[in-house]
Amino acid sequence: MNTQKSHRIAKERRRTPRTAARSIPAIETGRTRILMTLGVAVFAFAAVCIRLIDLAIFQAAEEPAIARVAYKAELSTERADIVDRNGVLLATNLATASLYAKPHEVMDAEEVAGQLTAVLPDLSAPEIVEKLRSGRRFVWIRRNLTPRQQWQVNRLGQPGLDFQHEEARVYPQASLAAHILGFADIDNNGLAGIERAFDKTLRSGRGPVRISLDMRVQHIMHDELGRAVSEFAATGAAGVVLDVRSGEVLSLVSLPDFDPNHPAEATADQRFNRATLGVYEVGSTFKIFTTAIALETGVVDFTDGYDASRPLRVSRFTIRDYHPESRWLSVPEIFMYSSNIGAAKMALDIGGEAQRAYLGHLGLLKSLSLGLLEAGVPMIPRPWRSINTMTIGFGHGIAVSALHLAAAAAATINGGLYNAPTFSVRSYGVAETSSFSRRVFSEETSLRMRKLLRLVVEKGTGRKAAAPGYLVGGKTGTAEKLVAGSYSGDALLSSFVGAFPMNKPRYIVLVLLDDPKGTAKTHGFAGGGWTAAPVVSRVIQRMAPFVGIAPIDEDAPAIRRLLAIDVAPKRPRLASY
Amino acid sequence: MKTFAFMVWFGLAGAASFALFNVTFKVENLEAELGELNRQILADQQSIHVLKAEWSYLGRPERLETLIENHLPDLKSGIASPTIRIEHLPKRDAAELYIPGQAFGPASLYAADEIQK
Repeated sequence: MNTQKSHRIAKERRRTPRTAARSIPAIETGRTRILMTLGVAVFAFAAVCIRLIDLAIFQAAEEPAIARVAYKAELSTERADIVDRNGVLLATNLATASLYAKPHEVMDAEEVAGQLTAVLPDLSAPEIVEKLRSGRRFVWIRRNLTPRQQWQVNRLGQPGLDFQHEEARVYPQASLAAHILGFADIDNNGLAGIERAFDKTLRSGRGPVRISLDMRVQHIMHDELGRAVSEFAATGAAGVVLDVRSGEVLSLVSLPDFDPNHPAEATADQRFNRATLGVYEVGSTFKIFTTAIALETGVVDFTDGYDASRPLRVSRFTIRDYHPESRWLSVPEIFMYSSNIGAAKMALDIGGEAQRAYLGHLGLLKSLSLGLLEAGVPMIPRPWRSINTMTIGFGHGIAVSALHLAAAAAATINGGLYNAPTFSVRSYGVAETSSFSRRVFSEETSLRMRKLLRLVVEKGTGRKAAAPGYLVGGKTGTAEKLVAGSYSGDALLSSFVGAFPMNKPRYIVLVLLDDPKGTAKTHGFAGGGWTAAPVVSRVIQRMAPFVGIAPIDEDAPAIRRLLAIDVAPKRPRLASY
Repeated sequence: MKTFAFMVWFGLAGAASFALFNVTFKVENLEAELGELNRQILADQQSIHVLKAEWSYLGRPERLETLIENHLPDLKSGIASPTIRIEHLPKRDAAELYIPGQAFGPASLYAADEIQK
């Protein structure tokens, strides 16, 4: 025990001097540690300082990249505006308030219903009561209130009634471009026309969608077409103005039309787009293509002709002329008097295969790729027999839309390029190599077609389409409508494809009247030359100043020379002469 | 010496915090102003948007035609027959209009240009 104790004391004794000896280095160690920590802290602060100086002074150039751009107020709507080529607003979204109710918060349904019908007289009280007692958590009372209505409802001070901020699609130009614009539903989904075709773009928030329409021209076409419809008691009408250089649609009217602000009130007939969706057998206007193909393929020349002295009988069909000359007719005469017999014979000489190929190039055998859902599919004969070739020669047995016809006609006069029609704005100077443009006819054929079309207006069936100074050319079309499977002599489809100025064509103006009736003024005639041609004349005279085309002297020698044509060349020796 | 250093540091810290708070408050004020301005801009854009729709509605060609018919009888038809291009206007004799020392009237501007050439 003792030894143990002494051992412990000895141990302590031994330790004491050692501890004293070691206390000096311990302080040293502590100091070193403090210095170390200090060093680290100084280093860290120095790094922060250096970085601060670096950021504040040396990286000033990069500052904008680091700084956030201040929030900028920008009005955004659920759906972008639609504007015409000149920026006229055609469709826009306006903020409105919609009234809804939370039925469980409504105290007295009948009182609320009574008050609401006093403010909004077109609502029915029993219906509101029924809605308020339905037990649902949310019921719409009325969408898209006017500011005044909203204020009045607010003033009722009824709990349980509330407003939802909404946007209403508004078409300030009302029915003027109804068929092209189409309309959107109450939840801003595009349902027809451009609204549907460009739905994604309109929703993407990338600013207004500009379309190729010119509202001034659109109004002129709408006005004149409407006048013709009432004058000739037509059941409907379609009008198209197309830029022949680019295929842009400047105007497209279909009557009867509707107000896209209230699409639900429109009948199916009003909503039907007669210019793009309706396909019709258009009649003689197709002779433009027959003649152009015949000239292009070298089947005929201006000096050639066909015997049109008697109706053409093919199996059970008889092809007659509306304006019978009953003699041999030259190619220009066939065109100018619109001889069915001549055109049928010409088509037969072209042959079904070539005819089909060329009509295909002219886009007449397929529906147009406009993006619009309202794109009519042409009705073409299957199989394509020689009788079909003949009737198609003068525009029967094939049905196309008005826009098909206008676009194909443009290709015959603009130098021979087919430009796919479009509602988008294209730049001018369309190149032959562009994606929407293809060569169908030669420049030479196109010039000859311009001469022929001018001839029709100067001396032929289309004289009423003349507009002094604008050098109008064109072709009449009068087709008997197929009523219940047979052609009826009473119901006609009268049309006129016009273009101006023929020395340097700029625009196609197409008018199509569905079942016009002759008047005393037209001596009972209802054909294209009597009903549709005057409309084209007036449209051209009214639109020309707006599109920047000045009247010229139609009798100027240079123009006379350019469009000179030998109508009745030396006739060949024929047995009948 | 120590007091002096302390004073300096205290002064610096005070100045820094004053500057910092000053900037902070200024930024806050500016941000409030920006917000207010943005609200105003939005409100203005909203009314411009509505006005544009109204402008388009009031500028319907149909309405303009009625207005022209009622108020501008001379401009009734849009037909261009009475319209000619400016280059087709007959030119006046330049010398006739040039009187030295006198101001040119608008009609003689062309003439003046020609004389100066």
